[in-house]
Amino acid sequence: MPITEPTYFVLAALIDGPRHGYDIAATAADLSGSRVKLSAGTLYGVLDRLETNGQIELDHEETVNGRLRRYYKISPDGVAVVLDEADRMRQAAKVVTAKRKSSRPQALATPLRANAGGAS
Amino acid sequence: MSTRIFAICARTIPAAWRQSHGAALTDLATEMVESKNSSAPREALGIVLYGLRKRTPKSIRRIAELPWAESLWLLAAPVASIQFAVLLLAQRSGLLLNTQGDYGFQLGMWWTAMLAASGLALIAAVRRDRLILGLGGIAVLVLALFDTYGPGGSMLGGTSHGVDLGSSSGILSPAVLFLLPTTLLPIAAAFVRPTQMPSTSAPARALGRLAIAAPPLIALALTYGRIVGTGEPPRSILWLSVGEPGYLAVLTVIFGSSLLLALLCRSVRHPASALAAALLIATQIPALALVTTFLVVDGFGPDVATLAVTVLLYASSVVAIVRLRFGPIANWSRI
Repeated sequence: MPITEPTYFVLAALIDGPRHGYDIAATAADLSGSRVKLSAGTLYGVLDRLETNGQIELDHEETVNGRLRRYYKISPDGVAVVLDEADRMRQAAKVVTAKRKSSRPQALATPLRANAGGAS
Repeated sequence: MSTRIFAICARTIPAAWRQSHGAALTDLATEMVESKNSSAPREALGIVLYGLRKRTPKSIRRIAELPWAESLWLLAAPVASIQFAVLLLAQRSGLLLNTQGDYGFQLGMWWTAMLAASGLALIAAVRRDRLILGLGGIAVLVLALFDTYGPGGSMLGGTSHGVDLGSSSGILSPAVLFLLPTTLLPIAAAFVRPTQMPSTSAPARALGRLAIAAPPLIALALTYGRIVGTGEPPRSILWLSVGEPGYLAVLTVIFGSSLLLALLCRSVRHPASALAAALLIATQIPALALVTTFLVVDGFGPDVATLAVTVLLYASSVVAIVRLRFGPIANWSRI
């Protein structure tokens, strides 16, 4: 089942190790080319759902400059989900890329013919 | 400043979750704003929406997933709250109070008794007390349906004392359409014993608190307003709607209401809260005696239905007080 883009990038952000909330949001923004900008409320909604589904789990907590930071880590289930999604998107992208390649000569030729006809 | 605003916004999140995760969430929102990656209004809105999402879909999902007996209990408190609020509004606005003719004060007493029974059912629904919920619900039902004195024309479409089931308009009157479902559901809940009693939802607890605090507040406001405005005591105060109650009754209500409010504000866990509730209900007993006297002495004859309902109501009140203080609903902090 496809997952949402914020969920995908949150899981992707956690693949290389536990991160805290702010770090997850910043990494998700980086990885997505600033497309996914999560507010604290949205991020916690995603984290809640992933935690309930067993795809992430709480790693540890620490206080930095008087602020509570909660670190999450991805579970084997979460890794499987994000890899499946990556694979699904790769397959989906391959279909479009292949079609684009096979139709390119014809697509390019059509306007040329039209132009040629218009000139005669 | 932002942190404080975020903490206020986080009040939308259910308390249990907020206690364990709220600090991390508001700290994260503050960090987002300070790092210029987000704005305070965006974060505040995000927290509010998150809190609302955590409340609403969960309760709806729970009702759909629960066995029907538990669903009944989950709905009992909100339904009883709605009934109590509408009856309170109708009674205080005079919609249900027919003061025409010689029976005016008794008619008021009838409807205020219904209001009291509805309040009792509401507390029981919030406290998950089957016995009191059943007694309160049945008292409301009998009071709503029993037509003792013939049509009196209340604006809700019922008669002065209840709904006239003998007339075609009575069956479909707004009073019947409103009171029957809102009474039958809590009564049905009282007759089932779910395997696991669902916990009271936060909105139901809030409505329960409001329902307990609202009558004394309204009575106080009306009483003071009336005394200041006209120099006379009001004709109908809370449950004391018997004729001209006199200044002594007014003072009793003010004293009892103030004490109850003070205790509720200070600590709902305080054992004296039950005493204050008892004091308030005790102020009704002279009213009961007076009404009974009128019914018997003034030529109406002993009205068995009235007496039965009144006794049922007061018995429920006494049992409620005892159970609130000593019984399974002794933990006031859950209200």
